[in-house]
Amino acid sequence: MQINAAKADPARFAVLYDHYYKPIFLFIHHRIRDKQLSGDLTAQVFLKAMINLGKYRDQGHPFSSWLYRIASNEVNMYFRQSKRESDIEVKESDAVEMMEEINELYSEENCTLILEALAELPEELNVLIELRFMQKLSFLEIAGMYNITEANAKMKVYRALEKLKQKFNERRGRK
Amino acid sequence: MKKYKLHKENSGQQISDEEMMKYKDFSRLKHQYDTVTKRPKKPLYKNPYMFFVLVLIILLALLLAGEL
Repeated sequence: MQINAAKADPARFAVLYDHYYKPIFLFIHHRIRDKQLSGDLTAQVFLKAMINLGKYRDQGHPFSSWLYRIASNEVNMYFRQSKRESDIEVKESDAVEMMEEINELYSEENCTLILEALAELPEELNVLIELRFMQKLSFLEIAGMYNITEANAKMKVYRALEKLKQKFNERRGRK
Repeated sequence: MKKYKLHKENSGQQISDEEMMKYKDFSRLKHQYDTVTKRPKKPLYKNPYMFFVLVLIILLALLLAGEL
């Protein structure tokens, strides 16, 4: 309803802006780690969303998925253009959650190994793990970002975790 | 290639709601939107009517310059 209202009158986009500002800002800040730049990119995301809102079609995914997709593209574009390396800070609790998912116990050494294994995964797989375990997106939101079904999103995340476990074991074997 | 660094809770670069809200400004966003969407799509000379007006102005200017 709010989306249709904003399509008819751009001033009414303010409601969507208020509602989604914080999650989108945090999503960007998690990757960028710079407050000013995160603020600029968040503004850019909402400007693009406002301009392209007419093209948005509800396909049963949350509206946030569409915004996350724009935000993800903006962040990737920023890293491509600036040729900066992407350094991502992982909360200890998120690392613990990942370790539980691959049936490993928490230790400082395992923590280091899992982050090294994660960096070794292909981009399309580590992004899925980031979205689920660091950005805390629901499977439905992830599905919306990739335009796939929720079941398919779950399957992709679990396949990424399997690969992560494989890389983790390889690294552990080497040490 | 991405690098993942572990940080202990509350030791990393956290951002408060107040700091985040400093960058939140819908009126600025709306102004940018209006600037982008309301700017003329075509340059003036590509509009047949405006092209005729521009030619007329140039001819008049040339005529006046010739008389002086």
